[in-house]
Amino acid sequence: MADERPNRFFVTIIAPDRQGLIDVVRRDLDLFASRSDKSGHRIDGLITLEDVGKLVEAGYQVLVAETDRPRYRHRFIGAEEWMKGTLAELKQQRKRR
Amino acid sequence: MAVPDGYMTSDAIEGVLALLHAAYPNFTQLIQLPEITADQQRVIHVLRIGAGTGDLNGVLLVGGTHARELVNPDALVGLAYRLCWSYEHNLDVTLGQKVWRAADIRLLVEGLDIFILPLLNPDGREYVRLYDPWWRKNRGYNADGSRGTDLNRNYDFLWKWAIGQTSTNPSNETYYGSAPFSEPETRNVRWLLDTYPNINGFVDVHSYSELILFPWGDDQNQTTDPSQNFLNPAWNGMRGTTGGYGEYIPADDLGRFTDMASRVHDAIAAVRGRSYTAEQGFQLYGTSGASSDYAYSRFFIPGGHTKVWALDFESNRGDRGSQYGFQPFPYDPDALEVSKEVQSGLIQFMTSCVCVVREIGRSLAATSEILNGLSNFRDAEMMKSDRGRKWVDLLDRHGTEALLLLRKDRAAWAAAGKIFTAAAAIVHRRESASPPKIDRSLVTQMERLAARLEKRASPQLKHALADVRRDLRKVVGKTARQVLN
Repeated sequence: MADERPNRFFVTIIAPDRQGLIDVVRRDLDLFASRSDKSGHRIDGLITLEDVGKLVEAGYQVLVAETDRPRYRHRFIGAEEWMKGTLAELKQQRKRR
Repeated sequence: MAVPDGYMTSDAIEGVLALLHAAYPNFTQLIQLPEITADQQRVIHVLRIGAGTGDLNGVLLVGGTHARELVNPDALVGLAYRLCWSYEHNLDVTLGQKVWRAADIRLLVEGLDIFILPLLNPDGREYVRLYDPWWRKNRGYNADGSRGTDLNRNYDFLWKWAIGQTSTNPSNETYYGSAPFSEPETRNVRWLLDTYPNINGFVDVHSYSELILFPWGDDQNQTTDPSQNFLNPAWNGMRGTTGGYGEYIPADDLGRFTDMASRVHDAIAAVRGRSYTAEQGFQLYGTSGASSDYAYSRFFIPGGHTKVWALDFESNRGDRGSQYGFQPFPYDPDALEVSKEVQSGLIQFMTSCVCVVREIGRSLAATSEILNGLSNFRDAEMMKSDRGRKWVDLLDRHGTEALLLLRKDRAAWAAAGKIFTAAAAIVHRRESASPPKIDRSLVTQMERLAARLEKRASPQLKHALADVRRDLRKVVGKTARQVLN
């Protein structure tokens, strides 16, 4: 059974400065890819609407990209099917030599 | 379709490892890890690849720490298959535009002890497959009724300080666990590092962001104040904040990490031109309890652990959104290239872990005592002098190319063997009452070998060899110690 979770959103959080980025990762949120460049200090995350509100209140800009509903349902395969596909690729490469 | 058009289930990953071992029993071994997973009591295996004998450097490649990062376990299994296939059939490995020659792969399979652990967290992957596509942790049980620990916060590196993106709240995605190594999955990694002390290379493959990360992850690196280090309790509570503290890393280590990461960058870019950023882990965000920091930190803890060169990869781009970053379509031509980038980067990393001196010594059936004695001389004495560091650096940067050139030239290989034997004797007896000196004939042999290799070397190696030849003239008549003074 799946654990119950509130609805969440994929977001990009923009911090005013490097310190803001350091502070936001201490907020116990699900954050992942960060980058600092000319456009600012950004970090991606998967957070609730309530958290979005808290961050905005604290002075962060939050860009909401999409809900956490998966865009696509991935297919999962077994060992034999994977081996068959990979072997076919390797054999094709050998032929091209 | 000529490629697998789906991600593998956890059972499938275990199944492919078993099939690979069955298909290539002469140079693979299936190692069962000692601990089963907390939720589904799954048994986890590592595929060990290696056709060499004797004392070999080892590398440990780990994937699937975070459940939702689906592409990396498949990429690691794919790497295992490509290594076995190439070695068995003496074929090149083609990864997009990058071609790794069969000789390069042969060097890895014969010159290294390769441990591939493609799926550290099978319970988490199954939970992603069946229930929650964005689950990150394992599926262990927490005291408050919540589930899961972030395995990449559970290693014993500054664990209790919960630095930066590390949570003490069991419900959080980055929960650090109830104690360092509270989880069977992380204990399995520790077991591998303890059981195989020859492992001196480690990569933990994550997604996403297109990054190659090297230690440290807890704070900014600095190379000038050794007292600011993770073992010094005077700095407890001050790490991971701005100002005041910087995690000490020896300048030579930082140089080697930077160099290794830069080569990995090039090997990844060669696949299709994506430019991964090589940087210190802390640049992503501060952490404690992370795997690569733990693997590298073991060397600095009293107890004589091997120095492990440890990196993290963050595979795949972020500019198509987080969902794509974590889970690109496995059958999308663009996403297939992500696996190839991971594989090319890992092949380059492994190449950096092959030791040219050890390889020559092994071919002469040198004993472990001699080989380890040379390693200790390098780490404890050569690295403390400018000349020693320069020579070690040359071997680190150009050793693989030199080794490939030597292997293609019987006379050069024989000459290298003679030089190895003479040099090993000089090093071995350096503390005796009358330590041997480097005589003119040994220097002449080395100069001739360098000149021979220069003819077929890359411009970079050529330049380095010319520099060594100039230096060699200054060491005639000196003992090993005097050479380094």
